[in-house]
Amino acid sequence: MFPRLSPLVLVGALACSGGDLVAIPGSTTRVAPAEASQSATDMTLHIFGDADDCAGELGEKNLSLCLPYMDRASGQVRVAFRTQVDGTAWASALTAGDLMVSHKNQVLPENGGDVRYVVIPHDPEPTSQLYVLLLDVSGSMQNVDRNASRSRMEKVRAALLRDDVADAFFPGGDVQTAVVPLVFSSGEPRPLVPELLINSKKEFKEAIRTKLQVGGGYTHLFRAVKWSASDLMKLEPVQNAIKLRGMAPVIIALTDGFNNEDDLRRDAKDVCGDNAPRLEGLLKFLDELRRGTKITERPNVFTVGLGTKAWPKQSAPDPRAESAALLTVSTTRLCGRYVAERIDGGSLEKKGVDNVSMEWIAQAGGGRSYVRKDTAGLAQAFKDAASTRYKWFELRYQVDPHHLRRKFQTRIRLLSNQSIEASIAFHPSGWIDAPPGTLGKDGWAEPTPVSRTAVLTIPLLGALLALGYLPSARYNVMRALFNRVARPRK
Amino acid sequence: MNIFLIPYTWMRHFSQALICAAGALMAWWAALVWTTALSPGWAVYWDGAWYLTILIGSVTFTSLYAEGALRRWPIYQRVLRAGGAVLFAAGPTFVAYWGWNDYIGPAILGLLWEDAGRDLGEPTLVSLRYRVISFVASGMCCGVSCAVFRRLQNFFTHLGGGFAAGLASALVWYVLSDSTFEYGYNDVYVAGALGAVTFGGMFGLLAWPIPDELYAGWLRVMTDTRFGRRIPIDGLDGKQRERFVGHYPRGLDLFLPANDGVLELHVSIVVSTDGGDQSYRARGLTIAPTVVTRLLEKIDLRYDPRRPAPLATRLQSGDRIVMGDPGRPTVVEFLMLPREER
Repeated sequence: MFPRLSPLVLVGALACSGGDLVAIPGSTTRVAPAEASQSATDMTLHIFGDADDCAGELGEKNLSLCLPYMDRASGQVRVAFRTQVDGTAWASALTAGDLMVSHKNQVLPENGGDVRYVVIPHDPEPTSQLYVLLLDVSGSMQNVDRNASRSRMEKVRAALLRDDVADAFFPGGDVQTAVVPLVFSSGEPRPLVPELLINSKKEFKEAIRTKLQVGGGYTHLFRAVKWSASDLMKLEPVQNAIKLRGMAPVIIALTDGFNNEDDLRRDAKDVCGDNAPRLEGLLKFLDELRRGTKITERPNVFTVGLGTKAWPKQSAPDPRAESAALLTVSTTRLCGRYVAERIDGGSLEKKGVDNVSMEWIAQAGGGRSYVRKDTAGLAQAFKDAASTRYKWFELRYQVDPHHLRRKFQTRIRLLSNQSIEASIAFHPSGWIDAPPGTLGKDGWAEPTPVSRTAVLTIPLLGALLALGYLPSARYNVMRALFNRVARPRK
Repeated sequence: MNIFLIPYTWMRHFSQALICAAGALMAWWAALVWTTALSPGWAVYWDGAWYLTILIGSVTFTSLYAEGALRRWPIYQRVLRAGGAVLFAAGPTFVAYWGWNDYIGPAILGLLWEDAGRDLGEPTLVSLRYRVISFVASGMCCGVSCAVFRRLQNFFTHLGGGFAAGLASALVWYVLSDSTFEYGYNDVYVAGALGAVTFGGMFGLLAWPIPDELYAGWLRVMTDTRFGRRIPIDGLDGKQRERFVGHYPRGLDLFLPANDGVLELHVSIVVSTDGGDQSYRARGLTIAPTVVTRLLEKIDLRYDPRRPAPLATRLQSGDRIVMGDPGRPTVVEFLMLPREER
């Protein structure tokens, strides 16, 4: 109380004490300096907070997209951010599904009612990557699905041989990439080529065309993923690629069914519930591995399912709502009422791909999960996994405009590692506002130039001043109408 | 503003409202451009104080400057007076804003709502509940300042005008900015502009209507003979005056020929300033036809010898006095024109 009582404070306030808030040009909003979490990992999120920050990092041309912006009329908010390591930009391939966005500490649902948000990447940056293709060659891959003309393995082969997929793995130019094709069924995965790494498009296509065959056996998916993320990374060619050539490892695991380790159990056949502790072990392993590995050497795990979802109404826990359950796998969550159902020989493998396990693995592995049933879908999934990385991103979201009628904080958190987050606080003026944003074709508002205020002000001012002449005009007209002005006739 | 462009009709009362509304609109624009194009140098807490001060400063200046223009004061005098009033209003506005948001508001509203203190101190909150008092207090500061610089004339009119202006402005500002109302805009852009216009308009309308003393009554001949001839019936010294109309050739104020049916002393117009308000009356001084006509009304002012005094009626601007033969009458009209009219 007393500091405000002091006349010095009053004088100080009047004498332009703006505090640490920064005004956003063209708006009546001010923002507090962005805050980033200090996590144990070496990656952070950086939200661009002011013009200097934006211009210094992204250049003047991106200034309008980079500055924080809120439009009270449409309820839209925009912030620009980037991922960085040790204070320097680290290109990444984030999408809306990779982020948890909070507005005033309320987590926004990814797709819900009036609320929506998108992440728009900017400035693609070619990055060196090492793709580990972990392909299921178990016996079921030779099956031909209903209404299909070719076997599952043929679909995978066709997808990998497409030019656009090969281009995604080997973009050329100055970017160094390599592919490690592995096949797995029972036991540890096996390399498709003796030299382990493939460095060119031609070799890649040749290997897929000639050497990718169905091998038979069971589907040790979880073991294969674990081996790829740990033991494979210790092999010398892979170490060289990662440490000497600066390639970031990306594991893409493809399967057509469930993890099935029947051959390791002599007492009984695998049932769905058996996979729960195995999956939990894998998730904890991946989580620990990612936390303990430098980001430049940390493998991201993508999963691709071939077929249809076995559990179309189930999914892995939503990190936005169930962060505590991310690494705890319950049998009911994983299998529903099919906990005791046999995987092989029962109805489960016929149901389709274990999409819940695959989503869970991708979440823990910092990647994404896809389930596709045709060649084009598979190709798209491979391309997405090998997607370009971007220097910075825009986050745009829309909430009910009422939520912008006082200060608020926007928080961004990575779903793959929830200790990585950044936030920025908006302080809109409670009294006046700049012109509402101009809605583009995509429905997102762009800042309206301040000069547009003249569109409201000038006509209104003109009307007020013109109305001032109305009494005298009316008076003269009335006198003329009632013949008060002209000299009467004799 | 120019008194010659403001005829003496009921619409004259809106002139001050319009000019003050224009001043308020310019203030809103200035505040907006300052905040958006130039970086506001003050803390967020003072956003409201600055905005309200700019708003009421502009309205105060406009009101007093406009009065000076109507009264033909020298420009330096207008600027000094209006500028002084702005400074006089600004300080109390800041103090009122600060006092309400930090001390009085939390103490009073805290009894009604648990979070009142916290929300009052939150400068970014768009809320009628917590902002209306700041609007009203600013309006009253505006009224007091104008009244002081008008030598405390109509003090309570000014105070009430400021109160009403603040209240109406807050209502318009809030209702238009809130989408829960049917015609709300969701944003404070249009609402802010129209809220400011409302403040200026209400203050101009209620605090200082254009006084009658700026006008004077005139008689103007409307018939062919001496058409357009006019005389003022002014009472600049505040004393009663009487002007005579007739054909008596010497000493009459308005001569009209006997051929047109006008008698020596036909009618007289009296001005009096009872209670500060001017009032004009016409007296019939002859038994010849003398009628005052206005819309849907005719008043016969012929002299009745049985009465001790001539008949008289109050005159309004635009009334016509018809004298002489009804078939070929002589007509003069009574007009209220700016006192400076010559």
